[in-house]
This record gives sequence, C-alpha cells and structure tokens, in this order.
Amino acid sequence: MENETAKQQDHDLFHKVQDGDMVAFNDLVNRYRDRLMNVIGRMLPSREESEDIVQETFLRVYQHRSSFDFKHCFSTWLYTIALNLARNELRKKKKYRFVDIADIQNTEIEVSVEAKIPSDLGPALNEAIGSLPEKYKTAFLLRDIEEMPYEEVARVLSVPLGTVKSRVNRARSILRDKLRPRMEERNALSKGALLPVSLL
Amino acid sequence: MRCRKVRSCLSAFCRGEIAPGVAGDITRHIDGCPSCRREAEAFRAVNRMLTQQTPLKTGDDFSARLFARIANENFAEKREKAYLPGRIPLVGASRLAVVAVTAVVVLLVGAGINLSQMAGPSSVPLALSTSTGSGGSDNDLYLTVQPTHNPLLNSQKSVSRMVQQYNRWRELSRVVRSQSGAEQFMGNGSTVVMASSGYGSAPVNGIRIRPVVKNYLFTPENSSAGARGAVY
Repeated sequence: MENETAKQQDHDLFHKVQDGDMVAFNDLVNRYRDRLMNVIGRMLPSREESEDIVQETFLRVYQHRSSFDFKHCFSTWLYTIALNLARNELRKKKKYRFVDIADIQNTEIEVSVEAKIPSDLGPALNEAIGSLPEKYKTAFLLRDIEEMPYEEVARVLSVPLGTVKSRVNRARSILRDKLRPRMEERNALSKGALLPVSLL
Repeated sequence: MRCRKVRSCLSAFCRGEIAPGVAGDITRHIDGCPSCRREAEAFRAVNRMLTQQTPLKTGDDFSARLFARIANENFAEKREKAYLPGRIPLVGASRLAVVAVTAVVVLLVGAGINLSQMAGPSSVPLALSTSTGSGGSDNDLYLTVQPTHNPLLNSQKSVSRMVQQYNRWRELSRVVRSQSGAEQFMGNGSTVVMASSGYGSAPVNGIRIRPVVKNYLFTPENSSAGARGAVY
C-alpha cells in the first residue's frame, strides 16, 4: 500500500516533469538522490565517481523523460539506469586501472590499524560488500540496503524472481563467512580475552 | 526439518522473509540444534551491522551541479539541432508546386538568354535572309513576322537558321582575312603568323574589323620543324 502511494506520487511528479516543471524534477531528485547514492556508493570505489554516476542518472532521466512508460514503476526505471551506468564504469575500470600512490598509502595505514584493533566493523563490512561478485552485490544492495521488494529487484535486474532470491541468499552467506572471523575476534576482545602477541 | 533444509533458508528466516508456518518449523529446529543456532546468530550479527551502517549521502551542492549540467546539455542539444536537423522539414504540396514552376521558368529564361548570347552580334539581323524571295514557305513567313531580338525566338534553332549563321561567320572570316595582313600556314595547318595591318582598312560588306591586339612573331630561325614561334 505504501509502495503504491509512493509509486503514484512519483508518477504525478513525473507527469509534471514531462510538462516542463523543473520544481517537480527537483522534488524527484531530492526523493531519490541519497537512496541512489547509498547503492551506487557501495558499488564504486570512490565517492566522487559515485556522485558523478548518480548525477548522470538524473541527467539521463531528464533527457529521456518523454520516453518513460507509465505502466512501469519510476523507481525501477531509475535504478536500472543507475546500475547500468555503474556497471559500465566498473567495466571501464577493469580495462584501465588507475591507482593513486596516496590512496595506497592511506589504505595500508587503515588496514594495519584495523588488524590491530577490530573495534569498528563498518569498514570491514564495506570491504566485504565491495568484494562480492557483481551480480550478487547488485541484488544484495537493492534488497538488503535499499530494502526493495524481491519483485522490483527482479524487474530492475531483468532476471527471474527465483534467481534474485538465490543471489541474495548467496551474497548473505558470503558476507557471513567473510565477517565471521572479525566478529569472533571482536567478541573475544569484548569478553576481555588477551590479545595475541602478533597483534600487539 | 533437517539441518540442510534449514540452512538453505536461514538467512531469509533471520530477515523475517519466511512464511509463518515454515518459520515455526525453523524456530523449533534451531531451539534443538546448536550448530544451526550459531549460524543463525552469525546472520543476525551481519544484519545488525547492516542496520548500524551510516547511509551514504550526496553532497550539498549536488542539485546545483545537476541543474547546471542540465542547462548546459539543453544548450548543446539546441545548438546541435540547429546545425543538424533530425528530420527533413515537411513542405506542403502546393508550396512544392509553386517552387517547381518557378524553377522551370527561371531555367527556361536562363537558357534562352545564354543561347541568344551565343548567336553572335545583334547588329546583324539573323532573320533577314529568311524573308527574302517570294517563294518562301509558311515557316519562313512565320519567322519574318517575329521580332529578331526576341531571346526565346533566337534560342529556337532551325536548320535554316544554322545554315544562315554558318554563312555569316564564313563571310566574317573572309573579311578578316582580307583586312588583315599576311598570313602563313604551317605544315600542320595551324596559323602561326598573323600580323596586324587592319588599321583604317575599308569596310567590306559594311563590316570593319578592329585591329589585332595580340601579335605573333615569326622568324626564319625558329621556322624549322618543331618550332612553333613565340607569343610576345
């Protein structure tokens, strides 16, 4: 019911956008920009690139506003565009890998600190999500981070519902396996166990 | 329920995505199975971490930059369309007909003017001889009543007019030869020397030839085979 209301609101706004109402477009941007960023920002390595992709998504939406089919959900269309752009960006990155020396130095420092004191599991979680295979990652982000219904995830990714469920399940299992050692370590620290000599 | 079956849907169970009937079965199994309980705990811990994650947000200037880009893209699109139209503009049939008729008229007039200019000096009445003689045909009679300066009429090339033109140029060349000085011909028949001496010569058949401007020099030294003279 809530989804239906949100869908109707999106459609009302988009009708106005098609009539050239930029205020309505601004409302749509404000509705979705952080949600998109929350997904795309976990797919791409840098924040600047993610923001560029989110911007490009809204730009494409505006450019192709006349071709939107109101039979479909606006959010499905929006996420499909954003994920396609992010995938293209990742593909380009695979071809040409640019590495900044400063980034390497920072990463090394962060990793070493984290290995010694695993008090904050946030970076570890992000790292684990980032290391997921792309098809599992997109399904997981849309379902568990964005909390999108399975049916809509299936429409965004253009795959059957069963495939989405199995991908999400697989992604959760991989995350659990990757994070388990960190979590056990943390539990041990919180219980006051002695640190291993190698970590001191 | 067996462990394998429970573990296949344990992550969904921990997220509350399992139907109540099946969820009850899983709960009962977990209560009695420590290893499956540990697995369920691990999933719940990951879920807790996910909920504690700080959501990523766009920057404050996101909208400003986006709308600036949209403004730039709009401008670029307009410029592109101005130079490269996406489709051929439609023209009405009536407008096309008017354009076609105008084009035909312009072409006809242009062709008439060109042919009349090619016909030679207008001081010689071209249709004069066609009216001579009493035994002229109806066609000749028709030609005589037409104005000789009409460019459209001049453009109509009949056989008699072509013969007449040929005769006129033949007469002209004869007059030129008689009014100018000596002329020599090489073995291949091309004129090499043509000295100008036509100043003040008497008109022949009412035609006076203007003096030759460009002189060709011919000397005995370069009159041998291969030499063609030089222009000065």
